[in-house]
Amino acid sequence: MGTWRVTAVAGLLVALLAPDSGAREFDRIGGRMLLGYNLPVMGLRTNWYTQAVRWGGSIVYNRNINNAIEFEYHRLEYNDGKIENQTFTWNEDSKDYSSPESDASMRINSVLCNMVFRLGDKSRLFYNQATSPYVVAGGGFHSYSNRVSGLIYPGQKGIAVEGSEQNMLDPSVVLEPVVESRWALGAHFGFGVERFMSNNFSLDFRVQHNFLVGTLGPREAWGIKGVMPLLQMLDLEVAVKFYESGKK
Amino acid sequence: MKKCVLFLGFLSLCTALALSGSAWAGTTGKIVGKVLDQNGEALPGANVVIEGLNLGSTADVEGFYVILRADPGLYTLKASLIGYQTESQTDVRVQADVTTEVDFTLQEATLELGEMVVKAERPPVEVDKTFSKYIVGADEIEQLPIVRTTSEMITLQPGVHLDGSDRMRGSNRPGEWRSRTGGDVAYYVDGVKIVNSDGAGSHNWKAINRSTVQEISVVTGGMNAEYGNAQAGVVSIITKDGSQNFHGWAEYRRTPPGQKHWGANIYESPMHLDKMKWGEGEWQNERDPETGRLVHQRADYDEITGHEVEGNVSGPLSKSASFIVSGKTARKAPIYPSGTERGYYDDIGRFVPSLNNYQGSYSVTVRASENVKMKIGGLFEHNKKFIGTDRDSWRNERSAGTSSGVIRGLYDSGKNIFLPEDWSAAGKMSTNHNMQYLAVTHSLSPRTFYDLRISRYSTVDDTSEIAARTSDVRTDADGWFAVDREVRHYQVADRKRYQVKLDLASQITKGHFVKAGFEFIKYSMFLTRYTGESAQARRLEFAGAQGVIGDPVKPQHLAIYAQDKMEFEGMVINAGLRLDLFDPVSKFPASGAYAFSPMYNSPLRFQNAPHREPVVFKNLSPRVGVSHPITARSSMHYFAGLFLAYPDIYYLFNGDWRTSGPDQDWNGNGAIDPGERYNAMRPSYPIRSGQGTTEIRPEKTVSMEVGADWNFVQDYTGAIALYYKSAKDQYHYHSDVRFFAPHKPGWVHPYARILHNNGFEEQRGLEFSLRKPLSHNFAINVAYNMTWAQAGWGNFDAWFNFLYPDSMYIASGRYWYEYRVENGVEVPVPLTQEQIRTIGATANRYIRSIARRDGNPGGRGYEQTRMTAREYGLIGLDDFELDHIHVWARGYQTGLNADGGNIRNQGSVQFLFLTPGDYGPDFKVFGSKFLANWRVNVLWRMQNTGSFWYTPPNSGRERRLRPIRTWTDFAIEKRFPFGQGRGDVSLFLEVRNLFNQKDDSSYNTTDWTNWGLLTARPDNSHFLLYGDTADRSFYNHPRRAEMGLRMQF
Repeated sequence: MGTWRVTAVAGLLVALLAPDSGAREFDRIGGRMLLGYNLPVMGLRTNWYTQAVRWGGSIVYNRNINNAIEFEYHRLEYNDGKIENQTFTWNEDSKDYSSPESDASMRINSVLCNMVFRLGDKSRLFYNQATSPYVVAGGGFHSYSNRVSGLIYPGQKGIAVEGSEQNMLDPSVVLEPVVESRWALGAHFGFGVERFMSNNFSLDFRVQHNFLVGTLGPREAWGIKGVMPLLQMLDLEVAVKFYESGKK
Repeated sequence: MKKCVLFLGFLSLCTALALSGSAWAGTTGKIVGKVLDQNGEALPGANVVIEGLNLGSTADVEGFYVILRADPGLYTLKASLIGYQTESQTDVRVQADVTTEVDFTLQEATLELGEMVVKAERPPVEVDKTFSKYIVGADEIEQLPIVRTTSEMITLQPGVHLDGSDRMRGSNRPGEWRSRTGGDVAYYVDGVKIVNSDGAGSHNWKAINRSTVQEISVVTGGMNAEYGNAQAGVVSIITKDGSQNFHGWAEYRRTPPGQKHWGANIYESPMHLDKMKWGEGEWQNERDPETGRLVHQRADYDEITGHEVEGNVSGPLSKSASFIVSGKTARKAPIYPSGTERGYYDDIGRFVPSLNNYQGSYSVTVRASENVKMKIGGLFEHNKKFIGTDRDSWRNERSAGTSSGVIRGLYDSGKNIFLPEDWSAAGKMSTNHNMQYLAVTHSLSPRTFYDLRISRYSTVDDTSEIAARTSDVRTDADGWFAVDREVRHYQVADRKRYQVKLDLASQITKGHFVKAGFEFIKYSMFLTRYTGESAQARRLEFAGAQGVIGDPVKPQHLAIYAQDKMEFEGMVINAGLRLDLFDPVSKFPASGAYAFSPMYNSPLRFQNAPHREPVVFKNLSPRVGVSHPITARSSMHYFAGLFLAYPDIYYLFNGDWRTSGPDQDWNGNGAIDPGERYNAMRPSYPIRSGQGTTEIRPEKTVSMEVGADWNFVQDYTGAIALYYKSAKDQYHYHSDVRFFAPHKPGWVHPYARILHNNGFEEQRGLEFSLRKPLSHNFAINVAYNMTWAQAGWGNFDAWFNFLYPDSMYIASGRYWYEYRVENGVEVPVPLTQEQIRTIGATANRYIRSIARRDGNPGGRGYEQTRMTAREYGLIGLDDFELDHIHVWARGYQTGLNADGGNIRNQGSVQFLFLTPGDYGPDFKVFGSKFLANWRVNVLWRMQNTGSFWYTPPNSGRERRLRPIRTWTDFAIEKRFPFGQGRGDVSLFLEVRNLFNQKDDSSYNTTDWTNWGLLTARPDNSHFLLYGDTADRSFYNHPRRAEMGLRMQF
């Protein structure tokens, strides 16, 4: 909770202290609620997780007709750890074993700042039926926590079996849960299109690629490679936006 | 002959340049540009001056002007001509070694019009940058107060290692075991080199208060010919001059009490297993029978408040003279219990158990005339600290002492944790750094000037409170925790460097800025370190002239260089040539193997071993860089150069001796007189015993890079560089020499390890930076460096050398193996005829047994050769020895090994946000709007923590990377201006490791790779019983807040 307090205070201060950045044609604040499909890519997908639902929201501040700043929070959780279905080969009898109680999940809470650069004709922006394509780029911190538990310890000697020279694997000897957590710095870029349904309400479709500077350790006994130094993922999201008022 | 011609040619070039009035120095910048009228026609005769500096120039017939020797900073530039409206350009940024271009367009005016003032645009890219270079100005340092030291600011530049280890792009640390140089990075202050190549590989001293720094320039991709004795890069720090108004700056910061490490309080930590018995009266009340002191006393090390003060003041002394003085001292708590309750953290964050510490600087700047500027300055640092017995061990809180019962700390599984406070068995050591310099800049003409720098830099170590003897290790009644004892240990070192540097620069033509000069360094150093390792074992390490303890060696180093920066339309070529002449002056032993001969096997005897005159190193190193613009907002550069580094003088002359017996009282007076001291010492085995060899050469690195700068939007500029470095002739100790003593057939003869040039390394990498200077209330700096190809070290053409005397040598009276004492002096006992016959026969049998297989491979990468010392080319032996000492040389080589300590990824992000002075509603606190003048800094850093070997189940071993570590620091500050802008007071809060990031530093890499384990195995008995005994072993410390007050006027 400590980190949250720090972040909340810092975020509040930044928001409070955000200075007036000079003359602008547009000066409006809006809100954005997002729901998305998150697709890990590269090492994160190959070795760890395949998908998650992402949800969150942001405060949108239109600096001018051309660009906007979004202060975003979002959250996602992977629950489909590949390692849960993997087996390891026990050295003592060269047989493969699975860990039925294994569980791998990863939760990511993100606090981001996005810059939205609007493209194309902007004359009808903020009017009903207007369409605004844009590119988006930004960065921020992602607090991730990857927890793996319930894995049978493959380095064990096993338990003796009466009448046999061969020991038997003891499935009750499990590794302590390992939690890898970090506030990872991240950057992202993407593109999207905003379709105005009225003067102050719009639907927003966005695709963006995320890079997080972080580490997920390997579990090579189960054929799982580590991921470092970038965790990458793709977001497909839809959002609804509300603006404070109509065109000024 | 060829070298001689090259040398003469170089000298001729330098002379010609000098006669043509050329000059230069790396502490000033150049401003060039054109003065045109509104129609684009040149305005010859127009005056361009820098306000406040008394510097100016007149435009030539093409309207071109050039202003040389401008100090780094922000200036207003004014252009004027009769009949035209005067134009001023503000915020013109001048940087050392950089050409700033400022053009003027003057409007014709028949009437007297007011001055036109425009703000100069910062150039999007530096088109004259021919290698990777990063410059930090005083304003940027001020904007990032969370970075407290100059050293830390340097580490944030791309390519510089974040751990403060004086490395760039994978280079070596000073004195690293595979490179016994003073380091691969050269540091300069106000153009004066901070010489470090004489301190047994000590960390490069650069404790310069950040508040006095005007500019830091970090070069990672190449160096001008002006810089040498470094293979990786150069850091040039330029300090502020005094001002013509009184200014002051002061900062106080307070660290609140609290535990500064992870895990339990160190007195409750599972690391002690069942050794701590709190609550057991007998154990808790145990007293030392010798001193009566309570043995098991806890130190309240986490209840200590820390304080740190830094400040400077500057002002005028007269109309032409000004001064600046700065100082800093600290009383801060250690992370773990240490030799003192409070101490200070040095410039790279290591705790020093010293209550008595201060550092500072002073300078007086005199602008004697428009053409002459003089600066007399100095830097100093003093500390007196409790020490351990190993060099630098007191710096590391986890290994302080490196011997049981020496100083309080965590060394030896925490056995030293109950040792007394403000105490060390090894006494105290004071260290004093002092540098004084005089810098004179004199313009001979508007386009020619010279810089002269004369300096003296000394480092003196001295030990006090030395124990008379070393007593045995004492422990508590349980036999576990150490109790105080005596350890005889001392270190005396006196290192002085006298330097003269003359730089000449001239803008010979519009396209040629030529510089040439020389740098001469005279060393005078000795170092003696004595350690009573136990009641019996003693060790002596020292460097002295011809093996004489306390007699300084006095090498000298002369460098002559010339550099031509050719600035054409669309291209800049920067070519330089440097000649280094390094003369060790003092004699070398003919071979380190003689230290293991029966004739010369003590420090006193070794002084009489065959020595030779030193070889003077003469080496040329060319460098060339090219840059050209691609568009108005982008440019590319290419660089290739050769860089050299000479051995650390300590390692060139050091010896390492040990004994387990007492010194002998030769004269029987019941005391060990100075002439008898160390007479029981024998050469260390297999500890490295330095001494350069006959064929030693400087280390060489060929460095190449291709880079690009791109100002892609607004004031966002990115830079990228790809580099390749091939280091050859790196110093290694892997070649060994032995002396075979035939009077002891069958005895395993020990060997001496001496410096050879047989190491090689390679680095390939990518460097990236993104910079957005302060505008629109925020600034961002991103730095990233990645070594993507395998890098590491290997041995090439390495040799073991074995010296064999033959029967003629045995019979010559040069061989003996016993001494007797006569009149208080030891003299050799000559061999009897029988001994000569039998030993001589053994000697010849030895030699005959060695195969003489010239150049034949003797195995994997091996070849072996037998020859006489004359054939081998041993220098320093007389004719007889050359023919009767036989050398068996065995060669070997290894492939390139990845380096376990190599950092493959590292980077940092700096973010600054501030609110303007008039921002927000009119709600005021102490006269300042509440929302105005806030400053927020976020500093994020990342590096992977090295690499390791891993063997997958079904394939060969592979190199793997350790996980990354990251940490984020945060600072917030509110400034309260007073006196209508004459000054301000700031309150600040800084939080280190904002997110409380824990990154493990102690784990089994194989278990981590196989099973993801970061702790002990689940069937580890200690783990099952006590839990994680390494619960405190993480890279970062827990979140820690500091607060303070800053004031300036």
